[in-house]
Amino acid sequence: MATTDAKGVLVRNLGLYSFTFLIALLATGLFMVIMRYDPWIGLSTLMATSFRTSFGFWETVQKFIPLLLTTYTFSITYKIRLFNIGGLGQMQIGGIGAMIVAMELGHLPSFLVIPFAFLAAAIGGGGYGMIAGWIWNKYSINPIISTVMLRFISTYLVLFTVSLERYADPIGGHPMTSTLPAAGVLPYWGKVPSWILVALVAIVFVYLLMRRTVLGYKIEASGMNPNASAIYGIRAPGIVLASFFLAGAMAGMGGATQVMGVQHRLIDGFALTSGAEFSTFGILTSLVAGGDPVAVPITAFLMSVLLVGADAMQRTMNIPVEMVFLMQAILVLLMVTLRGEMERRRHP
Amino acid sequence: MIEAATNIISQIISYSSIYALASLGIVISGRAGIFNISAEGIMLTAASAGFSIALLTQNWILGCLVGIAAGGLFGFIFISFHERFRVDQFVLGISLIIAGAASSDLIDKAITAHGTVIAKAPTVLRWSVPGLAQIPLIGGFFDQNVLTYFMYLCIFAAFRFLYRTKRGLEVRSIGENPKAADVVGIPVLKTRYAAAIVGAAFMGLAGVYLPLVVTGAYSTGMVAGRGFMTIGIAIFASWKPQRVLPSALIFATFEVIAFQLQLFVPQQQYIFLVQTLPFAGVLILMMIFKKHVEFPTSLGAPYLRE
Repeated sequence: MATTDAKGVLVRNLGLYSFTFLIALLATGLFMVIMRYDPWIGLSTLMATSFRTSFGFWETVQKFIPLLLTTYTFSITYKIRLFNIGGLGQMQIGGIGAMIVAMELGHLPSFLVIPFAFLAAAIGGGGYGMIAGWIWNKYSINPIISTVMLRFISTYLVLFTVSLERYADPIGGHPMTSTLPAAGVLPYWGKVPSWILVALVAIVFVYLLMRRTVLGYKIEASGMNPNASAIYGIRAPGIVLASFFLAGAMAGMGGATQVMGVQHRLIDGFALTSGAEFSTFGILTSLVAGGDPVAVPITAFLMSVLLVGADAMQRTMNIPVEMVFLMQAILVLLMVTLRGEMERRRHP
Repeated sequence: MIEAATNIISQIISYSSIYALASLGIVISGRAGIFNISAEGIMLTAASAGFSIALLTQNWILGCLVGIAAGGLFGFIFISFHERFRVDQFVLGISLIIAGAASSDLIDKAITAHGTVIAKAPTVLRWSVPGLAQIPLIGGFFDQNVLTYFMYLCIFAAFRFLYRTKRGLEVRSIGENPKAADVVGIPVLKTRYAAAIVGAAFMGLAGVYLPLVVTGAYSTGMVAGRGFMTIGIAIFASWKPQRVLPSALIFATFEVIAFQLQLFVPQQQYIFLVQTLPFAGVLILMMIFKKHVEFPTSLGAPYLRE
């Protein structure tokens, strides 16, 4: 009985995903026609760029890693029905933490520097996330407001940090620090970015956390509490703080991968990709996946494929990347609507 | 000295119009139980759509109307998805923020298609109230563009409507207890549709205010978080229209003070710290005045008849 049930869920989900994706794709094609671009070339560029060359594929993986982490950032607090939309802030504070450790401990061997930098990023991002949790516990100010305000503050904190004499790149035109010492740089294994490990560990960690630990059970239960369905959420201060810490730590580590793996320095706008914030795409991905721990990595990869495709479309066909943001928003609305309708059909 | 102060007050009022218009929209829909957090996206789309039309027609009135219409359209999408498909209001809000940010740039690129030259549209008419505008300090309130006067009028009208008419009482009762309102025969669904659409239209007007009054041109992401500040202002004003203007003034003051302070900071890096002031200020003020804030009881909750 259980196996057929699982099969049924799988078939239903596959159907749901393919259907919504197809509709979103059709809508995007329609926009392209309206804006007088060739929809066939556009859509094939969008979907296939990641798989045409190995460069495209590893580019996709590189976008996937922080995207996955920021997806968890939104998903974890969404479990307790709170909206952490300031993943950008937590990612930026994480990036600042990683940069400072890598700079200050740069003379040590890298097997010491890198774990410490990630630790600093996790604590920095997690601590910054916890501020919103604390404000919610103590002052009942919805995290929708507080995380956004903190996000703007952190953007200026990045600008402040990179312009400190100790770190600033004296000849950099853009606000940025000088290059990290070699010990603080994450290596590539051939073409494989080594920080894929962070993503893999995060996948296993979140799966075990939600399915096998008391904390995960409590988080899940707080979210399911019927009283919590009201917008005010439930009052379990410890759970709120723990979820915001975990969420922020994920974003912070995402920031660290960008600083130490991709840019090798702290730079204004390091938490952006394809012209928008990683954390924004994380929110969209999380809503599409519906918080399902298995669906999150798959959806995050799919979204990364779309982002790489969007970059390519902009480069080769001059189609604005915003076209793909709109497509993703449509994807979310369709997915959430259809999922809700299906739920109600099954449990009327 | 007094003239400089009057100028600063005038600048504060001009900025606070953006906040007041959008917050008024959030308050109006909030009173019917609709918590629309997508002001950021709505304002962006309205800014680019309204500016494009004002640019093409060289007519700012048409630009404002298009901004209002764009806002209303978003409000309609919001409320239909919520009422028909029961999508969570916050999920809808977040999706519309992103959809709004995306469509604003698409509209800009599709319609205006300007190259490197920043195109300018006609700005909104300015009008000094004869006599009143010459009074020191207070004069800042009366040396404004016509949209600001329109904002004064709307706040007064919204207050009169919500607190002095029967229909207004009905709207407020829906925000408190929709089921009870339904029982006594108030058209809950229709009113919620109307409140959401009118509210979003105000956000649209706030959005188009930016390019047509403040900057004179559209630029990507020009709303720059003000859409989120307006949510803070609506909460700070306890969802009361008469408190929207003073709250908006406080927050606009933060913005203008931070802007003026920068002139006195010698080192570039400390300017960045000064720039955090409006955002930190919003948070700290909300924390201090937390006890004075009231919410409509059923705000953000779906209404199911069965």
